[in-house]
Amino acid sequence: GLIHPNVLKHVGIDSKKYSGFAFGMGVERIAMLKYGINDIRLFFENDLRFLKQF
Amino acid sequence: MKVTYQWLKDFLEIKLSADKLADQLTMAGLEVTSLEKCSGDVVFEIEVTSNRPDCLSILGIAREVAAISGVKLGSRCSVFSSRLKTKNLKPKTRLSREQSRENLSLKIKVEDKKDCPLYTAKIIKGVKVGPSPDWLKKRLESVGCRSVNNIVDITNYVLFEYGEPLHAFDLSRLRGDTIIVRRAKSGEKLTTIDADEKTLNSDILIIADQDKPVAIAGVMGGKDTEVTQGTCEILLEAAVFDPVLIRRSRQKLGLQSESAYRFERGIDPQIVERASLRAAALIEKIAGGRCIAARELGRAQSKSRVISLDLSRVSINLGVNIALSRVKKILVDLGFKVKAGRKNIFLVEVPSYRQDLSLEVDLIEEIARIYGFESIPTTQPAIIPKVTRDDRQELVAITQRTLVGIGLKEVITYSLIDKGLLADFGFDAQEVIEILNPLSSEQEVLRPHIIPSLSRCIAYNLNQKQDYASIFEIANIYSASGVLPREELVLGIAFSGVQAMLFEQGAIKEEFSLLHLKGIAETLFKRLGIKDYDFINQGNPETAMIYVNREHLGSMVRLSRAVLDKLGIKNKEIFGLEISLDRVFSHASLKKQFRPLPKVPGIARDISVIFKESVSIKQALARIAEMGKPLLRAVNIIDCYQGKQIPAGYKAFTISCEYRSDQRTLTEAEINPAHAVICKELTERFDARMR
Repeated sequence: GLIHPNVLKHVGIDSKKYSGFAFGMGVERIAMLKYGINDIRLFFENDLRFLKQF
Repeated sequence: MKVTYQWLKDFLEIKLSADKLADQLTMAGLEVTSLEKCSGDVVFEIEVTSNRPDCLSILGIAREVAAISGVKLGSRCSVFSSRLKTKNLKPKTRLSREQSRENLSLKIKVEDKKDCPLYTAKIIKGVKVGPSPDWLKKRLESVGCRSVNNIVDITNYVLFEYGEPLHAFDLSRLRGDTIIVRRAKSGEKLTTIDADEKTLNSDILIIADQDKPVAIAGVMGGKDTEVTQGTCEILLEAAVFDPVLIRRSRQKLGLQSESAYRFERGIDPQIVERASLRAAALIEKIAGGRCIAARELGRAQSKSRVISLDLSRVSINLGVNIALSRVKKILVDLGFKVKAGRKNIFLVEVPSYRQDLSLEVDLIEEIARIYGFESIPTTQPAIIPKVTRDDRQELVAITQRTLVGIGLKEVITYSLIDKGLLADFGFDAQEVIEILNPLSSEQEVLRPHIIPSLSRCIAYNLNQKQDYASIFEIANIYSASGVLPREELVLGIAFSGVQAMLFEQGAIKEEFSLLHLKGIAETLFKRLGIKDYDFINQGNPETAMIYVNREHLGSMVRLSRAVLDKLGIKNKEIFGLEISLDRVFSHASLKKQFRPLPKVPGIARDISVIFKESVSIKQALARIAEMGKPLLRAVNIIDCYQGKQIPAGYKAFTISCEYRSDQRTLTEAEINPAHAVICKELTERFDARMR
């Protein structure tokens, strides 16, 4: 979303002149959508049967 | 929090189906996490964010639905036509001596108005306590509340409906004529309605009569004064308590309640009297009785807030032009009062129940979410991000590519591990960095080595019936050193098992060993342009130190039986390597210098030789290369063998020597002397035996 004017103020930026934008997406979640993976924990279990598919 | 479709319809006309309504609520910021059909009604489970305590009630959600659908809250609906039998019952503010109309005097005493800014009490006499009517029981059940008796049920009903928690006391069990809101004294005791005796202290706010505590204010009532079958007169409390104090009381006593949940997040003082009247009217209707007295102490009015909205900033912030009339309608539908200020400015008065709004951007956000974020057209940003890699990232990428190319799989294991794992591997916990408040015992320390985690990963995969596992990880390890801890990027490799490799001659099953690790490390060094490296056994055949440019950068190890047992591995070996990539990279060079291709062919000669086990092959090869100059261009081991036909304590090698001259094709005659010299050197200096 857009950065709150109070946050900009605290770092010395005039929110009337500048706006800020921030966002984040989980890389694992994007991969899950792209490849149809059904459980996010698979990314951290390091099961070779999962890793070998990629 | 649960609300139901039919209950919402008490407040306004809803044309949308339950599903569509759920969608719209979600898109406007009130996420509906589930819909359940329940005896003719639909129950919405809504996740209310902590900045919207005004939505913790049917009324609150109804207000939102009204704003989203552009409809007004119904004025004809039953909730607002509650009337008390005793008309003109205006709450009295301070105790006055003309209390004479009722033959009952009632006073309220609040010790500190910061703890309790508003307290109201109503006396209802002549009630008959019994089971609630079916419609009431059903509604309570649908929002997850148990039915107790008609009086208690009504207080709960109004809590869910208006978001104002109420409490009913059995008046006959209150001593004296004053209801007191004060801090408990240290050591005072109260048995709450869950039949548990609590010991109190001055951090806890209580309701008390002249003798003793009768309730934990805003959290839970006392057993002694609870409404039961025999109750015929009640005191109905509706109040506002300090959120911080309620939360502290609740936590100290280990309690939770729907009341405390709402007090902690903030109650709208203007709803208090309305809720109290609603409850009193319902009690009169359902349980009989008459409200004969009402008292109030504190302020019900909170200052209204006016926020100035510069209309040009709406389109600047949202990137879309919304017509003035539409902006005004949205604000009005939300319950805000809008006055035109100087040019292009709206002065917006925000109701008392919206404590979350204070800045212009807050209003713009309200406009955006009611207008619909999905209605804002998508555009491409004007910035085109440039992706560049610095040298280190490039080196990491080369490392990854090389290892994946060899056939290893990259894994990611956790940086936080348990101390037990380190102990299993025989690492002492000297300079290990401990977490002060670990989430679990699995995440106690920052790992000082990577091999234990990789070994665990191998163990996991072997348990999934894998024949072999070969993995690597590039990650940081941590150690305490001076003021700041040290973080170092390392490469860890681990493998286990038998790898089947296919060659022209057929499938070969080869057990992994330390030599494989060595080969992988050498391949990596070559790729990184590192030429000066050594693998040194220091007496222990199970481990080897890795040196680059004479600097000790890592080691390779075959895990001992004891460690394998701790990992739960039988019948398999694990080999691991750990090396500092930070320092390897400092020796890396990606510069390449072309060497012209040979114009003339060379001649290869093989030497089959047996060495004592203690002889360093590396030294032997280096010596050969030295002696064979200038014609000897390459020396390579093409086979090594131990076992049958080789006596114990010896190892056999086949060494290939390639001779070449830049100027002319060499003849056998020219090579023979050079080759003989080399063979002589091997037999004399290295005690080798020719085969």
